[in-house]
Amino acid sequence: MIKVIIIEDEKNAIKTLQSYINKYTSEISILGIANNMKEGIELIKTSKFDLAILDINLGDGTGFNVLEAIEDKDFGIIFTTAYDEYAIKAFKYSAIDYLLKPINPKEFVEAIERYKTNITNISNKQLKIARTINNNKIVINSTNEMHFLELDEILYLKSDKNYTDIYIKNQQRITSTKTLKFYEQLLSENRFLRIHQKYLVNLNYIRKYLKEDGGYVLLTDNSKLEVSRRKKEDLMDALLK
Amino acid sequence: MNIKLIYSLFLTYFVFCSAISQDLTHAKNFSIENGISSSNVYSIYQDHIGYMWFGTDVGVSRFNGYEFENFAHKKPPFNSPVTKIWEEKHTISFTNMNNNFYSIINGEIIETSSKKNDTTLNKNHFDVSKNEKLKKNFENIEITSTFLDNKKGMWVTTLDDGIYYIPDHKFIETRPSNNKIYGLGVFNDNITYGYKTSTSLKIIDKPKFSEAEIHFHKNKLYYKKELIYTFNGNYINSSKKSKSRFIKQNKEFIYFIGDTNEIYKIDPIKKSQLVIKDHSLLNISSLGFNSNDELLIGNNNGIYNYTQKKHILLDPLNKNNNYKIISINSNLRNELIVATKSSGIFLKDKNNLFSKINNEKINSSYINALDLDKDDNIWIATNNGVYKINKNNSNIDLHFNNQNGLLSNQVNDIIFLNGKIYTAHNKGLSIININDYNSNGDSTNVTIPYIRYDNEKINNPSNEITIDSKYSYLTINYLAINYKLKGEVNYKYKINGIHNDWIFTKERKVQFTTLPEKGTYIFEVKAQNEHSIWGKTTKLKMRFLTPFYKSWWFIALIIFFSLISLWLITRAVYKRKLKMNRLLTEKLDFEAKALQSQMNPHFIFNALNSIQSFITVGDIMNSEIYLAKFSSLLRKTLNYSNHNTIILSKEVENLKIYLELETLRFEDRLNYEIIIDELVESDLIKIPPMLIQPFIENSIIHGLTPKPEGGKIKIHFYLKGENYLVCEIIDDGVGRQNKINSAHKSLGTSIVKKRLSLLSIEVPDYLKYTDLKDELGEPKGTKVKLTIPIK
Repeated sequence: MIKVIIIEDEKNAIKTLQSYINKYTSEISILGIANNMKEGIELIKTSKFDLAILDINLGDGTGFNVLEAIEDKDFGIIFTTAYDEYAIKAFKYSAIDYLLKPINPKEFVEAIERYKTNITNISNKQLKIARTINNNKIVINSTNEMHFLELDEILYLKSDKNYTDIYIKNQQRITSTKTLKFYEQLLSENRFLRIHQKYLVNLNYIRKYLKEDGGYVLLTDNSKLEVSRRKKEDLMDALLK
Repeated sequence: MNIKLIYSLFLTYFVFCSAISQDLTHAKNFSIENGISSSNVYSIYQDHIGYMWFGTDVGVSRFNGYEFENFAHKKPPFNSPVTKIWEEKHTISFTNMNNNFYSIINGEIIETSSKKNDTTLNKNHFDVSKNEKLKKNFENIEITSTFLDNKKGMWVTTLDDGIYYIPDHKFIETRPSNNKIYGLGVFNDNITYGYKTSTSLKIIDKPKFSEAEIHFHKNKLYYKKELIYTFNGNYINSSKKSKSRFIKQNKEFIYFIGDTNEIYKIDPIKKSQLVIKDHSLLNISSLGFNSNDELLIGNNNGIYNYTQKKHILLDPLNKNNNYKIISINSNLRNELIVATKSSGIFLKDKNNLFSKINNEKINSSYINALDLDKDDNIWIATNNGVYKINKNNSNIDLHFNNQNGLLSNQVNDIIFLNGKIYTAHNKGLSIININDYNSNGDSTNVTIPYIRYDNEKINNPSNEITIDSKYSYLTINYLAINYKLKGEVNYKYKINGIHNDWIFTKERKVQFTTLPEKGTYIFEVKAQNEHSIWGKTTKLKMRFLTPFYKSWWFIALIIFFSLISLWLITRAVYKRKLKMNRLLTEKLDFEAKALQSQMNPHFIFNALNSIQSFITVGDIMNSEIYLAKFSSLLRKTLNYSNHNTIILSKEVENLKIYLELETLRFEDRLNYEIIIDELVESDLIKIPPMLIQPFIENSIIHGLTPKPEGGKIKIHFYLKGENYLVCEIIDDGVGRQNKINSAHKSLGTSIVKKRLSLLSIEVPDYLKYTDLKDELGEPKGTKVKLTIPIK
């Protein structure tokens, strides 16, 4: 049985969540509900639970404030919000999911399922590490694994339809369930640049820019990635910085 | 009056004969070496400016005191001697032996038809044969013509011997001598002079003194070797001393005769004689008395007041005061005038203090002697001629030297007697008739023959010129014609407004290499005549034009045009901005309308209807899903309507949500397919948001809704070239011919049409409808082709 707490300031939203849990999930029990940030912090500190469904806008604070007040973030987190501008920040906290309100019941169920999958593979300790992530680390969710990578380890990311192949230093390849677009946004403040529809590249590993055939970059591991005409200028700018 | 002679002088007394005309001491000969084109000269003329013109056997030559300018006929043969030159209305004309007539016009010899010959006798002619001295000098020379110039200078032209010029120094007579004359004295109102020979002393004089070494003073006393006499024949005393040089008489008519180391005091009335000997008397060089009749002794170290036994400081500022005193004189006002050998002249002023005559010329001269004329003007004899110093202002009034008549510049002694100044030279004696000299009538004035702007020459400029700013330098050539000065004219010039002081020069031109930017300046130039008297000022008013780019009208014009352009630009910018604003407003307007069209009430109510139907039939889950999707679409639509562009992949997501909603509503009757060509970089390409949806909605409503079995929408994205994205929306609906509601259709799509046209004016067929037909020609749906510019 998965113990869930709900931190949410809107009564109707709490009702919807309770309804969704009851109707569309199994083996989940609601351990407690908090109506604002203060109660939320209190609830997290005083109860033993597995998964927090955390609203971002809490009236007296945000869901992020709640997490900042907690040291051992050894639990799963599903963010809910009516706004989508927090998505990237949410993922920095290794949220399992980020649900926009009104919540699509299908997406809610998928999020719960994802937690269940993760929990079998990832220990709470790993979660804890994941939650201490800083700007130089990234958590990558593959189909049934969670990878904790230093950004420096990543050479480039390649789009594979709705998945993303992440090429890391030791010739390894990890396939993430997120789109390349997602990582582009996630890593926009780091030295990663979308050079092509297919590629997001770590600028630190570009060895050469080849003008042939419309432009390529040669990476330190000799991978040769095409550069989109539309991105040449951006690439030059970024490289010269 | 101080008379000094060197003790071993011969002394000669002279009575000069009066009215001596020009001699050849200062004559000058000009020949080919001096620049005239021929030494065979036939005729002379002086034009109104003062140039001398000479007719030769090869043409005419003009002389300006410095150089000859030769005018030759350009058409040979022109070998007939020019016999006569004259001037008509400032044009020089001449005729030759062949009786041809010519004029000089603009520097060219032009043959003139006018046979008008000035046949009047040359008034300036003089007869050489009537002048004994000249006659003698021109004995073996063939004289062709003579001419007296406007300064009484005599010009004589000769065959083969060029031109002679004999300047008129009428108020200076010269008595050349083979003896070096060292000293001057007066005896019986006649000048006596002493000279030196190597062997014996000689005196040629009325008193019949022979082999005597004598000094005279005012006919009253003379000093002869070892003896002092009065001229009435009374013997006063004899002395063994042989070096006496200075005789001075005080107010009590007691004579003091100075020797090198002792002084004889002689009272002619009492016939007493006293020898003053004192250890302080050394190297006596002059004697004098102050207003209290105290004996002053000048020596190599200054002045000593013998009566008061104290040294007199001439120059309290100068500590050593070791001046060699040449003379100590009192003027009529009992003021002392003290001349030093090389340190100028000191005057005792009203405060009984000595002050130096502040004149650089005098201060830098070696003074050999000094005398005062009857008006108390100071005359000094120097190694550079004679200077007359005005008693009132201490300026140099006159300067006489070899150039203007003195025998030489070296003047050993000077003495004033009966209105004449006598000067002693190594070559003889000069006599200046100062009463004849009229300082006003003989000034040397300056003309400006030409000026040059850069290399542009302007002859005879008017006295007011305007100088264009385009020129970078200006040369003013000026000239003073004074033949006596033999090309040694001193000029001074200044430009009022630029120079504070005169600039002295012997040059005949001044070049201004940096011209003032604007304004009026007056160039003034003067020349000295042969007596160092400055002539009249010649003025040239120079008006420097402001460079056109600095002139007020140009600046005004520039400002005017700047303002006009500014106004035009501002207006253009403003208009452009207005237009931009209008376009922007239009664009925003259409974007708002696009939002409206996408979120048109029809769709919203249809969507809400669908949700209601799910709830009604108890399909809670579908209603929840539908609601979430609807809100998601609403959110994105609201979000992106604020953006100018959206990444294609996001727009495609939105289209998917929309299509899913429609699919839910249509249940199984609606299928859709979105194809993005592999080359389309959907994550990179940006397009205007909410552009495509209305066409899809259009296809669903008008193409598929009327079709009972439903249908399929296929959306295909591909690239056209590099800058255009094509979106084809193909439905297999009823086609446009069968459309039921045309009013709605025009709303959503017309807005999009407008937006597209705003975005891409250069794409003519940005929107193209194609009616699809089956094999039988029946309508089979519609294809909408949108061409969207991409960045």
